[in-house]
Amino acid sequence: MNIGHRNAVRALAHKKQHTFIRAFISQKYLLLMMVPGIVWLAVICYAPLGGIIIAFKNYNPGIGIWNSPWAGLRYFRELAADKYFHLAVRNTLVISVLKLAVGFPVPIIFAILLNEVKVLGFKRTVQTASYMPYFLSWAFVASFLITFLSDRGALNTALIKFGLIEKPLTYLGDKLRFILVILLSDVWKGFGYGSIIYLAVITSIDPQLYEAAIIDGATRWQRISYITLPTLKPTVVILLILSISGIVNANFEQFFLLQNNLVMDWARVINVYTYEIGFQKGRFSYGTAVGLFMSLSSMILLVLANAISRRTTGESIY
Amino acid sequence: MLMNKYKRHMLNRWTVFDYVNTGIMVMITFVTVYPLWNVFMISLNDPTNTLIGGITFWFRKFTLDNFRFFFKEPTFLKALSVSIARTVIGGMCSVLVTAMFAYSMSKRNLLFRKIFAAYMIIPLYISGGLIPTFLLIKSIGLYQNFFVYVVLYLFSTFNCIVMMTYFKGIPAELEESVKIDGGNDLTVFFRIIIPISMPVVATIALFNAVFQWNSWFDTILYGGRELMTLQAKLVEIMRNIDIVRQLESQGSITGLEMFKRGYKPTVESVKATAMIVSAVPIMMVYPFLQKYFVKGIMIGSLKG
Repeated sequence: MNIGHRNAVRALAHKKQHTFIRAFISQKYLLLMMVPGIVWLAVICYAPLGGIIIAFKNYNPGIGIWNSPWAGLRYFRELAADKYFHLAVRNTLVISVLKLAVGFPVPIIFAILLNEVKVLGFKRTVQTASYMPYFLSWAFVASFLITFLSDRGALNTALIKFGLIEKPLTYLGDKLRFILVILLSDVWKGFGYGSIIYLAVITSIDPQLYEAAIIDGATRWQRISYITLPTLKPTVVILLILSISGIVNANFEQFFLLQNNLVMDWARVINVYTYEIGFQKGRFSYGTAVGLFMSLSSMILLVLANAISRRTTGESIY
Repeated sequence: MLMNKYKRHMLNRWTVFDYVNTGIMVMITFVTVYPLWNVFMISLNDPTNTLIGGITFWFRKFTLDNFRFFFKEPTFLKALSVSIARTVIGGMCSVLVTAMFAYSMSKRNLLFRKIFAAYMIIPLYISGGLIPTFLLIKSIGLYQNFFVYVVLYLFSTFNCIVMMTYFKGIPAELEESVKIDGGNDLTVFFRIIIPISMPVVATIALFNAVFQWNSWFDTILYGGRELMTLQAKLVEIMRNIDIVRQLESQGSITGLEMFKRGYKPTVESVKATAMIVSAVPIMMVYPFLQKYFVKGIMIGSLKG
């Protein structure tokens, strides 16, 4: 009995192994097709994770990562005491929160207003125009802004012409206006693209609901607040939660291109600071420590956001 | 019947709100389109005349010399060709690698499927960051090598998820018919899956192309002067007021016929012209990308 049982187990294990090999053989082409992706992930994504080790070493490019001496937590202590780093964290958080406060509602309002447009061709034209800026590069947008906002640029010319100002204003060289430019250019570039998802949700609403509401004498405002807004709510909640996870990642390209010496106290966000330390000062170890701080905080926020989203709406991305 | 008429009447009636709303929409459209228009007008205006300032809605002194100059200047042409090369090669290679991975992952019975899924997702949560990635690129010999533009973006988890969803919806009978005729998974993928998934494959290819075309920071980090792209050139012009003098000192351009006519390039006009050349391809393709939007945004918003 015992022996028979053992034999049966062995046979089962053998059979399992056998089916595994058979499955492996039958899927050999499927697995083969994954090889480039697997190698890419290993080299481009996972290998740099190992490279984080230089944050704990005194990295010397001449002798390589492995031979460089250990530094322990030296760079993290430096980080904790670094005045510029504190400023960078403050800038990143302040600007991200402002971007969220200004930039998040705009696509929703725009989608609702656009949905109320009755002429179909006009509606489509406005929509197509609205998401065009999303596809222009920041190099283009920053180039434009620098010309547009210069002393003799179109904005100052127009404002002087209409008698609103007497002398040209500086925009990028003034702290408050710089932040305003950052916020508005961000909204400009993203609102149309951001509204597409809300429009898709609104379009999925059964038109009969609106018709019934009209017959019952509902005003436009009542239709929006009792039909459109409640339908949008789940999407709004998910996107809001998810966008909160992005607050430690300021838009590097935008800041990198629009920053200038006059406003550096406000323009230096964490990832710009990482670049400065690493590539302008050549301090790779310290730069990596700064970068590690940022990617750890963003990971924590992402995990939190996903968990909150799962709990409140039952939906999570992964 | 009467009810229908009433409904139509209510739906089509223009109220004050409609006029105000239309006004807002016209303004929004103006604000989104104006920058491109303004730059276009500057690029069509005589450079010396532009220096006076105040080109807002229309050119003052029309000329096509800015574009003639642009397409005769060797460094611009070189940058343009690098941009085109990376857009085409980089965009295509990424679609292929990602689609192959996505196809295998779309099979429910794939061995180690869960492990592969985790393997693919983890890098979304944590990355090595700027400096370790830079050191890696240097150590594998891609620094100042054209293929850095291709290799860096060979695979995309977002695109992979979008394609996986699409592939899952393809009926299994289609594949079985090929397999009965003696084809393997590779034949199925290239002969059946890719052709019938053309809508999603084409959209992702276009998205990759737009991304590749618009990138400039990788040129600054890894490319160097030899691999200058159009967008990186734009950044260079933006940060370097002396660019025109540099161009003139190279001497290769001052012999052009338009210079004898008194043409004198300025930073503003060179910049505006480069901007227009960089934006034209985008304007041509972006309206075709709409299909991808909804899915892409849901997944993409996670990354912020």
